[in-house]
Amino acid sequence: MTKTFLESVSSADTKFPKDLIIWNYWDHEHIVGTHFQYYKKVNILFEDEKVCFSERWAKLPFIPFYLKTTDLCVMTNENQMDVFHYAFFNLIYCKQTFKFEEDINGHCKVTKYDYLQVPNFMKFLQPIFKKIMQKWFVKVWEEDMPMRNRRLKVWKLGFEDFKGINYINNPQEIKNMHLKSTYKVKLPIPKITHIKNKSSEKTFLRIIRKSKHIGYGLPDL
Amino acid sequence: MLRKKIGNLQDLNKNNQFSRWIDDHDILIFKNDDKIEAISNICPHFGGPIGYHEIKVVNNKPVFTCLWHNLQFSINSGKCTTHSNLILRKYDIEVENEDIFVYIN
Repeated sequence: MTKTFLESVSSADTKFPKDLIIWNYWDHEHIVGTHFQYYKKVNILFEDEKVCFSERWAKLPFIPFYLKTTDLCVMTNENQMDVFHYAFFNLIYCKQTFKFEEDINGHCKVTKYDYLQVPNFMKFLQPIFKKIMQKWFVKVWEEDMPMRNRRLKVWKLGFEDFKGINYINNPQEIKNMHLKSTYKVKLPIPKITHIKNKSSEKTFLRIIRKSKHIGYGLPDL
Repeated sequence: MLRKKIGNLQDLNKNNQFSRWIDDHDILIFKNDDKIEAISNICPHFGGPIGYHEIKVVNNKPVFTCLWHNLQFSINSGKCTTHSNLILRKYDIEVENEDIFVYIN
């Protein structure tokens, strides 16, 4: 059967440095936390500084059950990430390319290209596919936005992963406002499940099923 | 120690908890039975908000659950129950009339 690709492009300008955006994408565990309404499980099979091979259980728009996908995420170069998704006994194949462009002010633009392989006769689905993918991009993007904002904020205050902020942990410490100026990410992101289990197992399950959302809190007084 | 007003008792009416940034501290104020307490709202893992969800009871113990990676913290001790070595700072507070004050650095 001859096959073709449905295509979609979405993009967003941000005020965030490129490395923070990449941190967000490579923090594969957060999808079960931040996007807990759509994902219930992530299993990271292999990961290094350029590649992540994982399984995800996701609830996609208009599909009434969780779809298990096998995902290969590759940092093709420092400005591009390619993700290959396989689902439903490999009958579904989707490729996504993310391009990261950082301007001189350290603000990164993200452009996502989606390609879904379908039999030729399904080409008529192109407008629907485009609509779904662009809607999905906006929804996930907005859900991640407070996370990026907060991550940048705590980092500027001197936050260190697995430690926190010095002047908060130690009330005697004086706040240091002369901190590092460039946000840098080092892949792979440390995994809590990995450290907890002290093994190669990195399965991350959703534990919140129902929640009353209090929200991110209130701004400074 | 610096004493700062963080809110008032009415702020607790809706959800029994609220969080607010004050002097670069993100502080979660909550009702623990009849007591009002304060704890850092910054998860020491990656910096997520532990007060995003309401308090859950896990193994008969009340915990906060960080939104980002589901790390859970005892509301009583601040200790992480899902990952050893992580702990949240608890802050001293005072309630004066209807106002809640917190002691920070």
